[in-house]
Amino acid sequence: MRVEILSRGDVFKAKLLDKLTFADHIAFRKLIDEVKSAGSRQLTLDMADLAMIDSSGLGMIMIALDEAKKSGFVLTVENAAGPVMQLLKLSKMDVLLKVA
Amino acid sequence: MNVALPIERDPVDEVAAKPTALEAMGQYGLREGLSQLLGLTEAQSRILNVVMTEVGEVNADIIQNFQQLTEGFQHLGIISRQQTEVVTELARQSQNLIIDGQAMSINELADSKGQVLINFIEKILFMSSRSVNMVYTLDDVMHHLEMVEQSVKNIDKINGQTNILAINAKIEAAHAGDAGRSFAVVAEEVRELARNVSTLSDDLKNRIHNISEGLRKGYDLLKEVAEVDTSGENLAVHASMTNMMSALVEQNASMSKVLEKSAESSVEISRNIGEAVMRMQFQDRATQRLEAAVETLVILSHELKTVPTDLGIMAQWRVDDWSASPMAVGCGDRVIAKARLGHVRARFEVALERAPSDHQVTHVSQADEEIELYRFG
Repeated sequence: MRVEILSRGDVFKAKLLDKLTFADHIAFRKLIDEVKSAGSRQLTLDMADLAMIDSSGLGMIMIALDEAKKSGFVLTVENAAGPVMQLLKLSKMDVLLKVA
Repeated sequence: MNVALPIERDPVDEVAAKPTALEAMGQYGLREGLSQLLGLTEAQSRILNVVMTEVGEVNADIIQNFQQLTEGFQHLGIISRQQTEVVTELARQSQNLIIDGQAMSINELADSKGQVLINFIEKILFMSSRSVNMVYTLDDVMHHLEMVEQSVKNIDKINGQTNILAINAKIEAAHAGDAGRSFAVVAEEVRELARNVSTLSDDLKNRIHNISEGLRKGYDLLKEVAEVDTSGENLAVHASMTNMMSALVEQNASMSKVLEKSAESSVEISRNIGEAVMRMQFQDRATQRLEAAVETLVILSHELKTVPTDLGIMAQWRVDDWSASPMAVGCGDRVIAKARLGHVRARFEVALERAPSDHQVTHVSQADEEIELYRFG
């Protein structure tokens, strides 16, 4: 997975590219830590160019959701499509977090 | 289909016909006129017999065919009702499946299996998120362990310096002679202490290494737990199964509608067949009317037969003289000429003695038999 930070501040926006799998857990954690450090009120994950996500990736998003509740920011996913969107719906993640 | 015989008279035949009874009486006298009239009566009586025979046979044909038709429709009605029952039963059965001896609707089955899949996926995600969480915890422990390793290395470094310091102190004590003897003992103790710290440090490094190995193995196991049988591909298969179940439910609903419509059509067909059978009972009325008409013709024929007896003596007329009557001949000619059906014409010819009694119709042309039959399909 590659991460492109599009904006920081009140709304922290990051674009995830390629795949989100177990191998990316350190990079993903760093991203969440960075959001917490920035004191952002919202984290938006742009998944337009994310081709694949596995159960570990979904687990990481669930952890991010827990962190968002603890740290007081809103987690939003946008532009998810294809298999990624299908999995988000199948796992009911689209109900747990805001999917735009 | 047209079997009706027009009764209109051909004006040409009328002109060419033999004289009327009154003309015959004027021309040939009363006796001759009576003879002609009697001949005409005989010819009419014979023609009437042929017509009665024909009507009787047609009536018998109608009765027989209507009976067969009614039986056919009744059979059709039975089959249609059976088909309705089969389709209704099929529609009912298509709604349910028997699983472990219990009937379950396909909708219930799809909902049940769909819920099982959702629960399964939720458990997988729960397990994955907890596994990743555990990995994060292990990452933290590993990080702390690395710091401990660094601390042990620092202890080794300090210990090495302590050891060198003790050696230097021992050398300096030797240079001091007797005055440095006690200091040499202290320096040796310090060196012994440094050796002991070094042994302890090695033991600590071994233990830290073993802990690190255990954590790495645990890390690898958690990675497997997080990823085992939970790849996106497998989840996609589950999604596909869900879609298949939905498609199955939709197809079943569609099939049920078709079957219900088919059952409604079968009921409608059965009802129409029942009405058709009921309407075919008009044949009873038709038969009664035909029989009444034939009875009237019989009376008329009987009356005609009494005429020669009553008047024959006056005209000195014999039954076998009838064919010599020009009026009888004219009447016969016209009737035969107007007969469209070959077998009817043949019967007229035999009855009017124009052909031998064993005369049969050997060839019936298309023009002779202008009866069309309606066919389905």
